[in-house]
Amino acid sequence: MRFKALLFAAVIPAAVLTGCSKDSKNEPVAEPGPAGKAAFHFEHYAGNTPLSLGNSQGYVYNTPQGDQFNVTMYKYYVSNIKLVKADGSEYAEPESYHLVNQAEASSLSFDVAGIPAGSYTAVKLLLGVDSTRNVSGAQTGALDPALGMFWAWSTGYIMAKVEGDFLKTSTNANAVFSFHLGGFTGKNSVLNEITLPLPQELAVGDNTSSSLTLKSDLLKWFNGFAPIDLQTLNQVGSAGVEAFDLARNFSYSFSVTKVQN
Amino acid sequence: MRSLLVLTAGGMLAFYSCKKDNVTDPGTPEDPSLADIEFRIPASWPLPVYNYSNNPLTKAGFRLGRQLFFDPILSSDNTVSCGTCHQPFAAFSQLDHKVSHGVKERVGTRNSPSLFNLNWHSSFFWDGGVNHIEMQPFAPITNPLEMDETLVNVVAKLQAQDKYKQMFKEAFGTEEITTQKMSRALAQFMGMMVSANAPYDKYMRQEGTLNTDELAGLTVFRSKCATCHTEPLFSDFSFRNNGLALVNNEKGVVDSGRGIITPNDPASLYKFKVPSLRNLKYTAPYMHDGRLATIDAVLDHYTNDVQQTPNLDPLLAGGISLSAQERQQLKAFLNTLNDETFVKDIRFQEPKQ
Repeated sequence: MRFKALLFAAVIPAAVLTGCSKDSKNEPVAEPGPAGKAAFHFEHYAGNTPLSLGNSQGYVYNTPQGDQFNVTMYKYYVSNIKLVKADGSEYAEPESYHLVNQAEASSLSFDVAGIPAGSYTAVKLLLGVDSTRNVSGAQTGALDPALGMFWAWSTGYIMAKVEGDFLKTSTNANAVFSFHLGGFTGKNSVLNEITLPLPQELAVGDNTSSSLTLKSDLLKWFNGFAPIDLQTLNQVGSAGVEAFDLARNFSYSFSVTKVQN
Repeated sequence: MRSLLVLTAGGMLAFYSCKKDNVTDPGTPEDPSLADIEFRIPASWPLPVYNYSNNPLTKAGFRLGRQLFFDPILSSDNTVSCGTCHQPFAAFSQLDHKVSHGVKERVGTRNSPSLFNLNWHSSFFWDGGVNHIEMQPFAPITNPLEMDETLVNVVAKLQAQDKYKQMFKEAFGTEEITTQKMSRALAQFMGMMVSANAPYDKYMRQEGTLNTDELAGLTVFRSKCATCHTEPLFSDFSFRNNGLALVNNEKGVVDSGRGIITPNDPASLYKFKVPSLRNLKYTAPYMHDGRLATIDAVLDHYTNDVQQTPNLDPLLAGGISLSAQERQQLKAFLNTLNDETFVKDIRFQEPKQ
């Protein structure tokens, strides 16, 4: 009897917590001491030209290999954001999952809050969704499978998508290309954590708001790490070495261009 | 195990204690199908993979999952439900169908698998492409040959119905419907479908006996089948090539099975997830494409017709030898794995509208 009563006492509080606190996000206890926030702005380019979506203008860009193309979709996950101080210590944003979508202006900027006051010299991003969330059952918010960045038949998030048209030289006719990068296990995992140095220190103070601007240069998809010839590789829709190469290229597309304090 | 049971009960108590002011309890005494919603691990079974730790099991959640399971609203033209291809009386496979029909009579390529003891599965589908019970529903809903619907549309259609707004509120506290809540409700329903009350189970629990033939069959089974069809779930949930001839499927191609999921691993070609041998009486036809209509045909395959194809499981090289007597005993034993209480369980039947 005594044992049973004890067990119940131990279990009920935990159960109450899960049963009744559905609306609160699993945020850790607030950091002690002063904290501020930083706005992250994402800007997309093809070389030095700001990226604009659409195919009504014909082919507006050229790959480094000389293929003419345009872009109709550019979206990707950024997760596990960390801000790094000069001494190497880090602040990790809790529940850090963001879907950046060129077609949706509101997705191109977001705030990272709760940053302990101090000077930061670099930012770390995981491009894609960490493997844990790929194996943990149904997710919601930015990770809702309804957002279309998800493979239902072979569980896993699509970490990044680029779609558009290009001129197929063999036929001198229009063709579409579609790169959907996924795969979170094994040697062909497309997950890459990148560390981007900041051009100047990001100063975070008590209740202050700073900002940093991140650039992704889409041309790097074609030569950031491995050269990609659109004429021969234009459809990628499952995990594999092609997705791995493209993901590596993609990871070289980022830089921080501006910091404002 | 005992503490797990208490936890489930505690979770339910807590749920009702904090919701009682604004939610009507759907588990009224008038609904006997909701009288016993508690997940129990059968004695001597391994711990399940899925234990509701992030998805507390409640009567309201189970009832919502059951409603969704049998509602064709999940399909693009509102004609196909989960229950269309997973019928309770067929142990949640589809009776007499090699493969099933999706919307607009589109024909799939694989045999609709039976559904039970799913909380012990670490992967889903014949090729194991889905890694979590909560992720499972998204595949048939979005597969063009099955329900061919988008998740955005499903949520919008559910959100437009007062009945579902109320049921989601009862189950998860708010009327806002998300794919996560939908799949968690379905996991509450499907995970509850435990089949552990066949004559074999009663024998193992020392609540019943098996006759001489059945016991002899158990011995044959343990020496010739149990490596892959491991007790007590009667599958080790691995992927294996069991030597079926490589023939074109409904789409005119050879199904490479697990090879579709791991195309860079040649060793995965032509392998399929080992199915459970429970409830075979209700789940014919057999194999990933339903090509074998009877248990005799299955045994004929293993004794006489195993094909030397790439990645053939080494255990099946040369087939399985069975004397006429062993075969008859094995069939008698397989018959003790049929769980009539499961297929007739009132908790898992289609709710009356």
